[in-house]
Amino acid sequence: MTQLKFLWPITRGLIGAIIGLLVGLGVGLSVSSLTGNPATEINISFSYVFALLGWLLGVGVWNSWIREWIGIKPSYFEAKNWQRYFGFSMDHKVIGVQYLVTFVILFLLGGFFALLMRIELADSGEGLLGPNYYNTIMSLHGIIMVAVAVAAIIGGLSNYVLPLMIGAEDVAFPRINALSFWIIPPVAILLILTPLFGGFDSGWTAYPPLSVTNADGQLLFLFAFLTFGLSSILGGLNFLTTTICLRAPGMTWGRLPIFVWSIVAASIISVTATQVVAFGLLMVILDRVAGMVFFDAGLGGKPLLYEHVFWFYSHPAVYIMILPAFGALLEMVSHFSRKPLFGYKLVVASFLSITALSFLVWAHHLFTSGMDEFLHIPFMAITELISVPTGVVFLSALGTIWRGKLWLVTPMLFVVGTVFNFLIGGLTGIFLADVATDIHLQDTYFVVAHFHYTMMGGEIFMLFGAIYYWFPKMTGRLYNETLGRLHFITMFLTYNALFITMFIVGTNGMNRRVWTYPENLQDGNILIGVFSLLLGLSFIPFVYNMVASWARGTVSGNNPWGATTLEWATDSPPPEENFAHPPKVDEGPYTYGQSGRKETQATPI
Amino acid sequence: MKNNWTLPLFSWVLSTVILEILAITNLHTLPSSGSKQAVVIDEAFFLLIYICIPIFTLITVFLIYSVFKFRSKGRPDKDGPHVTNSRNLSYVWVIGSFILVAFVFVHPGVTGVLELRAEEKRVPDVVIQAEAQKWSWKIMYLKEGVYSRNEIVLPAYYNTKFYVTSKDVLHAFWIPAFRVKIDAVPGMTTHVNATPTKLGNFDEDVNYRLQCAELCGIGHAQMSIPVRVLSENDYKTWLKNQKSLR
Repeated sequence: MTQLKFLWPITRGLIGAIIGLLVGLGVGLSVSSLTGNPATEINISFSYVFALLGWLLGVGVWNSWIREWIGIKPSYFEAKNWQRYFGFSMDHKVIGVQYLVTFVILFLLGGFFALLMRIELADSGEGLLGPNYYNTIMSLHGIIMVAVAVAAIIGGLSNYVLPLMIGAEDVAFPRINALSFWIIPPVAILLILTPLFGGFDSGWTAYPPLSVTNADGQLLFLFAFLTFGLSSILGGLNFLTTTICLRAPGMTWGRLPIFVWSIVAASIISVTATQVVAFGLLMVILDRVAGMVFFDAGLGGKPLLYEHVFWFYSHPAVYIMILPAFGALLEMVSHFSRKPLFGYKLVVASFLSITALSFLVWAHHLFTSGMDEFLHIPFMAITELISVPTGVVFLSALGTIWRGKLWLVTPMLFVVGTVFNFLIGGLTGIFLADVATDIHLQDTYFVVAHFHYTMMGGEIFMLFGAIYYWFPKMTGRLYNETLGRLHFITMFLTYNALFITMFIVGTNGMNRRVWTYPENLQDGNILIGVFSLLLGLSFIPFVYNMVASWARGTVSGNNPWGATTLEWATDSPPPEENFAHPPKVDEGPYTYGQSGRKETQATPI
Repeated sequence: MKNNWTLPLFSWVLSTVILEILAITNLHTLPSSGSKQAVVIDEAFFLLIYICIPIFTLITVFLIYSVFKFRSKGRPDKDGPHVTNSRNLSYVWVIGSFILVAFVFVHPGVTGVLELRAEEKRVPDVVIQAEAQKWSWKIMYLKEGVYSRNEIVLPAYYNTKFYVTSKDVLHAFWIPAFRVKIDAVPGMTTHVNATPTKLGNFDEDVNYRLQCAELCGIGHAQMSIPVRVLSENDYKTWLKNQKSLR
């Protein structure tokens, strides 16, 4: 029994969730009988909210947090070794790994859903899934991948490395950090349960009136998204505060590694934009559950309002995903070129300009929505303008590689691949910013291919690159280089083959979110299906490599890459307090080529 | 160090020329073009492709060249030069990309919008209300007072204005051959114009279809009816056989 003690937090969380569920059900039943409203969705809402509270209290909020408020000594069991990952740990390194592992699993699940979609689409007529299941699976693929993209790079990578990079002992609010991770499992469970409640056929965008009138599964989705938003706000808050307050002595803003800057820029977006979409989702929930009519045109509601509110968050949200990817890219490009980052200040300026401009481009999603036409030209202008700061990332990457000493290990291969992918993603974005071409391309596979080129080709590629890069730091072991290269080459080739084909099919008139299509598009769709199967297979070496190398890879030493930033100055994996001696910083992050450079910049006091 | 620049610059020019020639001669990914609007949109599309090719080749060529030229076998034993910035290159890059953006914004950006709007402002010859409802279309010929549910028939060469409405959820009005698209929003009337430039029908070309392009539930993928463009006389004969709106 004592061996299973590490499962106590989760068990307590589950018990708390069940108690919460029953309480919520009781509240829901009484509310619905008092008001005479139909009961199902009221019950779902109350049960979920109470179950979520029960889960959080049980999993650790009560023991390690609330007890302190009411004057009882906090008591929690902190397991050792790998068992730590199952508890309410407040160590940012544990939380980072919890995020990463959770999201790699969800990423593979989302990829499996994509394969199911491709099996349906292999035939222009009805196939495996049929219309209802297709829409639900498509919507699940969308939201799971969006959540992975947002949370894995910020919650996972940045949680692990940001405090190390700035020489901090932990994040500013360790308990909030733990909370922001343990909010995630209910999100995943809700999403996976949606098919049992009739699914949700609205896509991850959930436009009303459809999302107000469809099956109960939609409500689960809305709650999942809302809860996820809460986690994202808490995460952003934590990283901003950490960077502002906990930098080591001498770690001035001008000496921050570029990855930290990118997290600062992304966190500003996630603390300021997420509540906007949360309110939009809440309005849909209230329309469904409380009979409000925000989006019921027949009673004076405005469906177009939701589209504006949704994209006011969701366009900046793509920069929450891509800015940290740019940061990781430029971070690695410097270390693996053995050259200082080219144009550091210009890059910081461009990150911050992207943050500012990202709030002013949302209506380019609405060129065909029927919004007032005088908005078209201004939004086209600002959308195209954002390519100037984005272009600086290419300048910096190429400028750093130029005349460097390139070390083409797996993470660096991912960097090179990402520059290529994001170039295509960025250039095809111009076609969607241009009003005329967007009229045709909107809602076709061209759009689907474009955002996969930016989000997957840009961000997810960089996420994998960064996992390889920081794997020795996280585990103290080296991954297998041959398998890493195999993963990169197969993923890069099949990925490009897949989505280039998707551009062609999309321009040719294949609209998105359909399970059946004209027969002339069948050849292209079969090709896409074959490539996506191969793309799916390319992750096998990755999973094997990670698991096997973590268990019995070669011991890496503290700084296998000879990199200059602070996280490499401590042990691998770092001790609980991160640095044996608090570090003091007296130079910038990228000292390559400086005469008399030390191996690392950390000088123990 | 001069030698470092010759080969990539030469490869950039060469690959740009090759890709431009391939794009001009071989790129046929757009559906057949069947309206004045399609001409404007296709011109913008191809112009953007021609503009994007040199940018694509510039970065790709320098990336590939650098990877091969500056790679070291295994772990580098020395650092690269301590170069942190180049003010001139940064200026050239930022100002250059700004000029490119400004160019693309004006043409095909603003010019495309203005051309499409000029078509919108002309007095329409045919006025149609397309009413979307899960998962069908009702096509109402407002001047003639007739309607059709199973197809949409238009006279060639006439400027047609579509008023688009929805009775339930969001839908979108899209005819791929005409390139025009506009959402159908409950509580609003949106509009779009199309002037067919040739005869055509769904049986010969699947892009002659009115397709819902905004996810609207289970029947979304099948919410599509054929489009037929007829000569003026055939169109008038067809109109006579349609059901009256009143």
